[in-house]
Amino acid sequence: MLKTIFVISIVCLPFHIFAAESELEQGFFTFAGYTDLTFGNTENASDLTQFKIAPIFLIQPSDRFHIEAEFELAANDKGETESEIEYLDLHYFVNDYGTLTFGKILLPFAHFGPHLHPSWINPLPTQPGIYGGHHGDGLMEGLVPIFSDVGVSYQHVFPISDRHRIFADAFVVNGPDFTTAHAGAHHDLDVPHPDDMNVNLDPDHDADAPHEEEHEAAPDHEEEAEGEHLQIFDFALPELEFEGRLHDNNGDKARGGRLGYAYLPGFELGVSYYQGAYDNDNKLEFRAESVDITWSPSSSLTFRGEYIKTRTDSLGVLSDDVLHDEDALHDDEPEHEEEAAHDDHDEEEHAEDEVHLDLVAPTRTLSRDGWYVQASWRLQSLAPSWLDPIEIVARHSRVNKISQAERWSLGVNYWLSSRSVVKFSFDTTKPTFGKDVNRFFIQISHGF
Amino acid sequence: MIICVLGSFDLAYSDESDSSVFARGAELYSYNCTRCHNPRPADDYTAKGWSVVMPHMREKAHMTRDETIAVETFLSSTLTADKLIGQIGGLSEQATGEELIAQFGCQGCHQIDGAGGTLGPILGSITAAKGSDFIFMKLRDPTFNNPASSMPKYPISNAQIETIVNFLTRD
Repeated sequence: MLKTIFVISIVCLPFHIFAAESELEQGFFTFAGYTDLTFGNTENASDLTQFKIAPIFLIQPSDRFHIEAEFELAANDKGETESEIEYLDLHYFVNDYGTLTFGKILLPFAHFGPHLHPSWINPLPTQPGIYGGHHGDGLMEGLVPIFSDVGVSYQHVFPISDRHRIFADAFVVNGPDFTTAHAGAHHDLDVPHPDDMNVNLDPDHDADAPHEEEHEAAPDHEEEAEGEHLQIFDFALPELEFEGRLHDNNGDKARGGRLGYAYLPGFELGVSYYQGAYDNDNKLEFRAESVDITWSPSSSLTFRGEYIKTRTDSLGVLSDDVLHDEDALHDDEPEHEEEAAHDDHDEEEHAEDEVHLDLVAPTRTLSRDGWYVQASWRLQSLAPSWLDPIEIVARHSRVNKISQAERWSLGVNYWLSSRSVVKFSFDTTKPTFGKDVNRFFIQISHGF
Repeated sequence: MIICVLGSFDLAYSDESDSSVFARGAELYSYNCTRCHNPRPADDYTAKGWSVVMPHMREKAHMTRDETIAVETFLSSTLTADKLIGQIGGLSEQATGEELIAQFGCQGCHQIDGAGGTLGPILGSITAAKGSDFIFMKLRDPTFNNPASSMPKYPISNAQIETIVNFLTRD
């Protein structure tokens, strides 16, 4: 019976996949994309900061299949050419409401990444501060540099009416990896990798360790706030990579999605989630949650905002003090590390004796959050008509806790056509430590 | 088998020759494109080009197949890059202003008598404020006053424009 069903399915499949959905004239290939040229000026330099072209190739083998690929070609500050596949995926339109996507996909997390990042759409030359230095306009350390990854996603639309809809996206992708696991932003020292230290990463110990404490702030020496003992572990924010590799460094796939509601054309609300292990042993996770909102009370005025919270497991590394003072290591082992390693007191004492040889590296969860709000106003509703192509934009971005900073951005855009724009912007970035940085940008962007 | 089962939830074809599909497409075009960016003028691509672009936007904008076909119908019925005035038939020179406005889907983006979209200005107000010559020029060349205008360039004759202007200034 099952064999019969299988044979019938195989026979029917091509008819289903290649069945025509529309009687309209059908094409096979076209290309779109965007290009931009950005000049930047800071207190120290005036540079052409970016030249980029991002062609998008679109192929439609049948009404149900669609292939899209965006490539980015950019010149870096050394004059070298950098190239990247932003996304390259295949859509399969399962039915009227559902779409399966395979390949290197734009991650449906929050709103800016998957929808607003092209320069002819983004009304400022820079990304919101919570997205950090993606494509080199940093200064603020982003919360989620996640734009695309390799995997599969499924999208389903629940139309309530032409104006109301609920939609859900879910994805499974390779997920994050780490560069130097514990070289965080505030750790500009060469911190040794845990594998190179006399630290026991025994997974049995790790499972029972009281390591899931959540810490909002991460001072350079996290433990200092906790007691009078010399604390021996530092917890730094790991530098994670979200490069969309074909190879997954662990067996844990990152997963998540976005649930959205839209009352078109002026209101959209979305909540997103992302979770994935980044170390080779699936022990350390990165998690992110987001709420995004768009509100356009009129066709000339748009407000956007996103709030993102991240939680990153951080593996403790022996502090520099301890590495230079072995006696202190023996005398002042923190209490909770003893509990993590051993249940009974005798074993704790034994552990103290052997601590430099058999010590469980604890983990902590470091929390960060941040947001951006943005308002853009087209002057087309005002007389005289020469104001029609002008747009004014203001954005405020803030990242809290680790690498805390905020940025104010103000821009004036002149639209040459509905897809070509000249942007002038000024922003000032205020880190908690260090002096403020002011920048001025001119960007010419064209969507094609 | 899973794909066949899921695919069996498809709806029947939309009848693209139905004028209500065209008008609905105009409305959906104004509703969905502006969520992220300026609507692209129809003459940015050929009709065949739009048929390849629209599935890309279907996934990005979370549209259903029916909605995608309606927008594609609307765009391919206006002046795409491969069409010129006179190459699109079916619009009678004898049609009334009300019929032409319905046919062109003006209310997808503009309100008339309190009904319609909000992408463009209210037609009654704009006609009163800027005069019938402005409306005439706007229908002939939508970008004449604003290069960023996303209003499609319609395949429309001078006589039909006069009919529409007379309808909008009927009071």
